[in-house]
Amino acid sequence: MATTGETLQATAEEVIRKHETKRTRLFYKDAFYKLLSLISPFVLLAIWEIVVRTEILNPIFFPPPTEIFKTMIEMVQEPDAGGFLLQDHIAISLRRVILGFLLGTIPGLILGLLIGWFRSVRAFFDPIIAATYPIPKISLLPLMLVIFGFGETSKIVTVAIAGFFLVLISTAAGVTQIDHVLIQAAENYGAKRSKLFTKVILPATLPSIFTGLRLSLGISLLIVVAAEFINTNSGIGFLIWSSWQVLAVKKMYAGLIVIAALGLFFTSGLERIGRFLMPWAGDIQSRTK
Amino acid sequence: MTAPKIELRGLGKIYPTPQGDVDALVDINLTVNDGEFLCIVGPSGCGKSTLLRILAGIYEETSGEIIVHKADIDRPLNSVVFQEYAIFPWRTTLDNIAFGLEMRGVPKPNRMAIARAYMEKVGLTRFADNYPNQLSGGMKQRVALARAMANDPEILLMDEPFGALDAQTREVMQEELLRIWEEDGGKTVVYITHSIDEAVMLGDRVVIMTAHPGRIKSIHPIDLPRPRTQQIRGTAEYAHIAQVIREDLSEEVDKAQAMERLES
Ligand SMILES: Nc1ncnc2c1ncn2[C@@H]1O[C@H](COP(=O)(O)OP(=O)(O)OP(=O)(O)O)[C@@H](O)[C@H]1O
Ligand SMILES: [Mg+2]
Repeated sequence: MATTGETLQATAEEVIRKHETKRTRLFYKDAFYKLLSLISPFVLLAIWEIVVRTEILNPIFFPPPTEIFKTMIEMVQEPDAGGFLLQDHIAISLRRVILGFLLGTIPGLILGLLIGWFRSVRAFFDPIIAATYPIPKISLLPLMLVIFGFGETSKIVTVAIAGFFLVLISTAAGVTQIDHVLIQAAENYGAKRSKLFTKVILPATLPSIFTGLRLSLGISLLIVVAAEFINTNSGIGFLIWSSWQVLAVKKMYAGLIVIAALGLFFTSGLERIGRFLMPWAGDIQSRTK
Repeated sequence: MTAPKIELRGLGKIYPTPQGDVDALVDINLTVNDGEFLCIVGPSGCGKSTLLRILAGIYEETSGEIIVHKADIDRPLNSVVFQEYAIFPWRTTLDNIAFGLEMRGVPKPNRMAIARAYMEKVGLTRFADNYPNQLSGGMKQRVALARAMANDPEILLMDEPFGALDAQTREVMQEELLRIWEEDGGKTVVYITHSIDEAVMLGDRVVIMTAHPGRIKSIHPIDLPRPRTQQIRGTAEYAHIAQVIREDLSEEVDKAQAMERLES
């Protein structure tokens, strides 16, 4: 009867072999698409440069990319009026984003899990969240300024509140959407309390948690920049705003490029962490044509 | 060997729904003997999965009583092979199979050895490190089967475990299941299927359920010799009992379809 296993094994191997030839083809396809994505920003920059140099676009509003990069290099080397280098602004904004993000998402995650899992907690918090969630969080900044003063805290707390809600809502939704048959199976196979949580509920919710984290990082960046427009003398938002006030358009673009780069860095960083933590979800993206 | 393992007395199940109560099971009286391989067939929607979940202790009965005799405190009482597979998307084949053992605290080297052995029995060794989204429906079903058997329960509860397999693989798996069952010795099995052939091939008795709401219509003992292989399908005794059951069941399936036409 050893043949039964072997027969199945043989079919399985056949399937894998077919899969592998397909994989090499997929590899070249992947490489091609990666290359396309890699060159596209340079193509855009080149077109921009040409269009401005030929004065189709006004160089006062659209300085050529090469000029902007020259300005950026100067900003890295020479302090501005406030004594800050470009990297100082970046570090200051980053600190606000990261502290606010952590301060908001960690409690959001915990409360989201509790709300998702316990009906009583959900029943209690649902109306509170429904009432407060629609408030655009940036509109809380003045209130935070009243409470915490002009220092760092008011900005960090505003960022935290925004991140808190986003992570809470997607985490709670993730928990309530877990396929109940999986819970039944886990319990039938002896998963209780802490094991049920760490081995089933948490991994099942992880994709939703990551969606919340991604949204929350995006919003954090937005709020930090907006807050820095208003009342600081440092940070990328300040850089952009103060450059506008003196019509230093190239510096403004430098700020915009930094913000874009930060956003990109955060998104792809989170994606990488997500792929590492959730290898089972990895195939979803590569399946598109 | 004929001691009762599971006793159901006047068991009923009602699902309350917003559209009103759904009578899923009505007055089920049944005794499953220790070490028995019991098959249940019935038209779709008659309450087989409901009954299995009550046997597993996942759902509670609405009326009547259920008595399960536990014999061994070191082994899990029952393990379910779910109709929906219910394997964990974030675990590889091997880790899925080892899940029950892990929850019971079996040390890692031991549980991996056991899981590997069952993984080989269901022919998935090449897929040890694959996640469920890379497996076919039939492969997932085999993972679910191996997970249940590796857990070594006193009672195996299987809900159409081979429903997603092609005819050939299904026959291979049926023989394999019987072989493991005989090897493991004395497990009580409740096996739900749509297939009369499968029920006759595997079971000591076949229970036929009525169309919705589910009652027990009849119970047929299958006195075919063991160990059984696919050859048994060629015998006259097999053909006879399968025919008797087919006629018995077709009445119910007709009724179920007539009801559905009425409702739609
Ligand atoms: N959670 C539930 N809530 C309400 N009604 C339910 C629920 N689960 C099952 N039912 C109803 O109970 C009846 C029996 O369902 P069940 O899943 O037990 O049938 P089944 O015999 O396993 O069917 P199949 O062979 O198609 O798997 C059906 O009418 C179904 O609609
Ligand atoms: Mg069913």
